[in-house]
Amino acid sequence: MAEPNDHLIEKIKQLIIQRLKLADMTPEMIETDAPLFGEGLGLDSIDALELVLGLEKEFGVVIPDAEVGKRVFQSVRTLAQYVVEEQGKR
Amino acid sequence: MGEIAFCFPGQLQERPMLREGHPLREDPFFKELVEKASRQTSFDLIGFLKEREGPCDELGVKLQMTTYLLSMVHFFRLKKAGWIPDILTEHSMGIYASLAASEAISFEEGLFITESIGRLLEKEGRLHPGAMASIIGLPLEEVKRICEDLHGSNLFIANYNGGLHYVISGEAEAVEKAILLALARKALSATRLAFSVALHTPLLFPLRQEIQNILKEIRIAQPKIPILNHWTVRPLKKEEVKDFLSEEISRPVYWDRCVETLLRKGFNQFVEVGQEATLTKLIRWIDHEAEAFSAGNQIKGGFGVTAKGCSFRHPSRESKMKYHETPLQVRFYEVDAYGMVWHGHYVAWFEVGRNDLTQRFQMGPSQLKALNLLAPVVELNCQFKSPATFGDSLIIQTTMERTEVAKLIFSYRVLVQENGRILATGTTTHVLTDLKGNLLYRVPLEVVERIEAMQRYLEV
Repeated sequence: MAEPNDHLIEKIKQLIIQRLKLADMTPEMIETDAPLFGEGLGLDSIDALELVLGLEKEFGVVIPDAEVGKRVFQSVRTLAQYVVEEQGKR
Repeated sequence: MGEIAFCFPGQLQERPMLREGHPLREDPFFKELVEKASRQTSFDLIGFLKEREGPCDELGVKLQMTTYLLSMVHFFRLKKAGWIPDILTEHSMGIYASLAASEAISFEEGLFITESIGRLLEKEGRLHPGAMASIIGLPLEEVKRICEDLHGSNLFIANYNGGLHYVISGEAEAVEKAILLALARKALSATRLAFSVALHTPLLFPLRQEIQNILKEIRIAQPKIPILNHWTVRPLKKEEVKDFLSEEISRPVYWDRCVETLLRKGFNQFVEVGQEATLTKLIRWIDHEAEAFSAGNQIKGGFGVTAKGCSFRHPSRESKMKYHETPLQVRFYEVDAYGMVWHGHYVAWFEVGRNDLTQRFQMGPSQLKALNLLAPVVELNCQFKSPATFGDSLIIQTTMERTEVAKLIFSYRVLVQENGRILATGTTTHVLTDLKGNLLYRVPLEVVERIEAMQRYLEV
């Protein structure tokens, strides 16, 4: 599987900060492999809806439902991998 | 000043999924145009959609005709919904549908041209196999360098799609090598596209005369809606159309230029007149803030690529929403020991207003439950401005806000009927879940239609 590059990882961190208005955070503060929900970054399922839209607008990739979401929203890395996979399909 | 651009996409990359029961198949325009097409040509769209996946004869021609037909269906649907484009833009083979949409040629002529050029390309692909690949995430200089590094082979940039999206095209073997090079040089992705011919390269220059022959009998009328020529970024003149058509398959597509020009000129709404959201995504890469959506995706019920919500809307009517009004008398049991309404009751009144509005559009709690949906409140705000007292006649005003996210957001005002004094304002935010409480990431089609109806009612 294609590994996402650092540039994409950085862009995704910025997207999370922008979309969820985490004004007091910087991309460096988000760990690439930490869980996004619950203990890690502490996001909730409603935040996922904002990210779904953000990913679609920014990268043109669609997360159709919560089942896919569960897999994709594990960490910044899984998110980036999904973006690479989906863009490769085009 | 004009502001709406209709964008006609190039060839679909795969057979669209229009299963039995897909809303488009019941569409009168769809039925009519499919009927017309099957009468004029040997192409049977319904049959094509029903065919199993897998290899298929003349797939390219069939995909091109499908693209043409679906663009025309979407064009007529949009027109009927009240959209009036100020300009048409097109990507690659989107030119045929845009010419028909602008009435420079008839629907039948457009279909004839699509089929004839499609067959010509099919033949060319057999004689001189070519390939195309999309390369994402490398700067232009790098893509150029890849083409140069494979010197000696025929490889060209075929599409300048904007935002580090390029399509290269050329001899099949060279394209394969270029994909590997691009990945080695850290492209986000590099993938083959479904073309067996080196489209948009000088390799197809020799086909010019044959295309002129195909067009010989056709009389081009002045386009009723201007079509943007992506080479000159000026409207395509009637006299230029035949040359454009005969040359465009051997020249690159400058989609980036097209979109940038329109953005500079103040176009702020891009509607993709096609089944997928290919151009919509490209536009977003060029400008994140641009409002763009695909007509095809709307029908699929995905709120996803839609700019601001889920409905066909006319932008000029988009700004202001009115409130739906529900009268209410303050009851004795709602008043506390101070003689004022207890604060918690306002929240219940919001619900009275919301249900009065939503039930009119089949969006009330039990009506949603009949669709196996729940719409729980996930956020509530209330500002208390002035107290209500026993016996007051009040008006609860409710409206629905537009949102791009899969949420329903309602705003409320509670005011005194007599003098309009505002007592409280607030909002509630709801998500949609199934009966087990699983969150939905997109609004289902049935609900999209109901929201649309409600928003039409609420538009000023």
